[in-house]
Amino acid sequence: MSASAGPEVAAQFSARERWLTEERAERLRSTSARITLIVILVALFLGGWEFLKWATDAPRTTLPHFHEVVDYLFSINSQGDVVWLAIGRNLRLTFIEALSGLSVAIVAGFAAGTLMALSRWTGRGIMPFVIGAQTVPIVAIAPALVIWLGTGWETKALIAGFLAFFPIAVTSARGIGDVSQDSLDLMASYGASRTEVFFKLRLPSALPYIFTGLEVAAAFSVIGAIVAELPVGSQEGIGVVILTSQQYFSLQPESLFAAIGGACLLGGAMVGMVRIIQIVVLRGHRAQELS
Amino acid sequence: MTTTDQALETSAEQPRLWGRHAGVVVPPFLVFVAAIGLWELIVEAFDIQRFLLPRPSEIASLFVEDFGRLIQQGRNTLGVAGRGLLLGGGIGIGLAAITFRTRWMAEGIGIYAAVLKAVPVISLAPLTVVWFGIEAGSKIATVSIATAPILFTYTLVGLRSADANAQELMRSYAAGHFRTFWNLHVPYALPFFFSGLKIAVTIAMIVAIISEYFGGSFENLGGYIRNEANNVHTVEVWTAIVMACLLGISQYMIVAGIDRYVLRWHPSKRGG
Amino acid sequence: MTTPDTSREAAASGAQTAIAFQGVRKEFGNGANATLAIESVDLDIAEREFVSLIGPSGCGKSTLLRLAADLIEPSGGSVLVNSKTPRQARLDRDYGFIFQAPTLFDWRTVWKNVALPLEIMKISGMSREKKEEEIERLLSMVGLDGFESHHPYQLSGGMQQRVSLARALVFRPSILLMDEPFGALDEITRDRMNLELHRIWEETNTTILFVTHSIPEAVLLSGRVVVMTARPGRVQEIIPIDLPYPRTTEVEESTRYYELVTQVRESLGTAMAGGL
Ligand SMILES: Nc1ncnc2c1ncn2[C@@H]1O[C@H](COP(=O)(O)OP(=O)(O)O)[C@@H](O)[C@H]1O
Ligand SMILES: [Mg+2]
Repeated sequence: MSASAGPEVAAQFSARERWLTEERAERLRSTSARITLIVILVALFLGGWEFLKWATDAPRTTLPHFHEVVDYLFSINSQGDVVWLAIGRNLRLTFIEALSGLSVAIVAGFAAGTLMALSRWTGRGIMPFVIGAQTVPIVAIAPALVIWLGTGWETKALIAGFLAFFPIAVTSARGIGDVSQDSLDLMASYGASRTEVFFKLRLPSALPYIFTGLEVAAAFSVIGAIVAELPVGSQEGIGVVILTSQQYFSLQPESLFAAIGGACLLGGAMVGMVRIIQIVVLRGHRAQELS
Repeated sequence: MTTTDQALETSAEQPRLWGRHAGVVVPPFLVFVAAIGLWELIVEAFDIQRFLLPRPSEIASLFVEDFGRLIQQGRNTLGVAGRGLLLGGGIGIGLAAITFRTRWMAEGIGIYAAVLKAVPVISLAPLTVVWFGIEAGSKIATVSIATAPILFTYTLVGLRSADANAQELMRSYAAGHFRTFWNLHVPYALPFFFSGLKIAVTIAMIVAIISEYFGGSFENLGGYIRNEANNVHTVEVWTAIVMACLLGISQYMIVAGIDRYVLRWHPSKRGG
Repeated sequence: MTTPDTSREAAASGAQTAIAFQGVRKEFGNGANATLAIESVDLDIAEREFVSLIGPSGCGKSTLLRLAADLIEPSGGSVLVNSKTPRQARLDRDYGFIFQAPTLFDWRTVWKNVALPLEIMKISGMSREKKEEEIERLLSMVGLDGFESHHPYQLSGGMQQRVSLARALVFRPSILLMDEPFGALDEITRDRMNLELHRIWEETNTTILFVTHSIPEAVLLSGRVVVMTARPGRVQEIIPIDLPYPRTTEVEESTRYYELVTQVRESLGTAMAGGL
């Protein structure tokens, strides 16, 4: 580059540099704003909890104080375990069930979605059943599956996977099928093969869709795992803890709140995990819209 | 009359019209027949015990026999799902409509909605029983907790999707907030609302059945399933499953149909 | 060739001012992020005048228009529309705004799109029959008879923009603010729309402030062409267009027309050089 271009380039560069630091500052501002917002929201939640208790004068057996639930978490249960550790152990098992189910569902759902999108007749043939099967009450098939396959974690993973399959299949089908004719024509003009069209066009443009489905699937996998733990015969898992706490509710109401809190944390963790992966994978994509 | 209407009425287009409908009806039908046949064959070939997996023919005949009771139980479940959806939808849509202009408020509620979507709602079922009783109240509450955040998110994004120029146009007419809301934001929100509703009706049904499974009356699909499953009456359980699926599909199709009709002006809805 | 229309000249030079920009400045954002879009813009547009704004892209043409429309507020200086604040003018429905995109409501038919301002404004002293008559008249004026019950997606881009023109005219605003209204149309449609617009302007008492990036278009349509400099936008030069009315294809073939096009082009060249 010639010397005469120097100042201009320098000016551009400094402008760019300034822009970068400004953007970083902007991002920092918005991050700190977000954290403040979350702190406020948590405070509002706890305040709402205690206000509700105070306003309705609810007894401990309807709504304990928040600190009573926290105290309970650090107490020792009848088996001589520290409560939060015991809940953590059960959560770990449910987490494994949900995660295995979700993994299977991702593979199967993506494959089914791709098939539905790329083969019109398969798509038309299967789609109504995919929609219908979503409403199959898993509570109804869970007991049969438990009888069939035993009470091991694999059965529960299967049920979790069943529930997580549909959102992934539906969003994959939609994302992979929803490519503009212009883009397809462009690829055709380059003489791209079907494989290239898939990997260079369909898949990248489908990713934002698939991730919205994945988020739902992550939440569903936890629901599936918990429901699968409900039928008699299960010994472990957060679903069992919830069921037991429900039975002893009048004696120890805090235990149900603790168990539900644990389940909510698990759901949050699963969805949060997908969110983080999504942020990493979709860095270059535009913000995702819903419709 | 639109050009498409005219096109459909000319007789030359008749074969294509039939062809289009055939394309939608025939493949699912074939898949259905094949799946049922395969199921029957598998039960036959592997001699699977009845309490594990009954034959489709058995389920069908009991379904027909029990149809009256099943439809009654289905009605009760639908009632719970519908009322829960109405309550949850009302809350979600109402909050979206109130807050969509105020960024920080919408954002704050949005975080709660995101958390609620991640929460395994059925884990809340025992708690709603404590608060709202073992009968319909607790189930309606659980369904609304599950559906409110979905409709909130979709409606919010929809209300915010209104074209910037169109908003300026309304401003140039000195249109008030209320008029702008009805004439501009609501129509823009509709496609999103329907997308959300299609998801929410399905979820309402699932959650209603699961929460019925947690206790209360037997006079609904979830309660019936709980009772029959405990007695290992697998065929009975399957008739309830079939009823649940049929109701789920019809519900979805009704919403999809309304969606198509209401949004027939929408560029994405024209043609096939 | 017809002689210049003297009454029109008088209107342009004398009497009432429709839009007055005085020392107008507009800054977007604040602090280190601020962009100065326009600075010390002085411009008076008389009633019944047709003025074009032309300049390099990003020089603040839309900004000026939106200031007059009270869609944004100036950071300095003053804007008056019909001797009122832009806000009052907006509340009085003094102007119609036409965007580059047709901005039709997809869920309304052509007819109902044109009727929208009437519905919202509840114009008094105009009976229902009168309104319907007016919509019908406008639709046939923009050449859309028979398309009343079509939805926007059934129309071409040019037809859609004609609907938006009819919609802007239906409540008879005294001022039209047009932001590159035909910029997205093909040349043939654009020429037709330009002549139509010009005819409408001649037939009504409308003041038009017209943003364009086409030099021939600006010269053909306007009484004056305002050339703006690159960012921050200032008025570089105001070129009076002394072509005879009515402006027809005949005018487009005259030598004077070519001279004026060249003059605007050179002025624009200076404006762009100054900005770099
Ligand atoms: N809402 C806004 N926020 C920030 N900057 C803006 C905004 N609107 C316009 N600008 C900036 O102001 C300048 C003038 O814009 P505009 O009036 O749209 O230009 P023109 O219409 O002449 O192309 C541009 O540099 C643009 O980036
Ligand atoms: Mg512009």
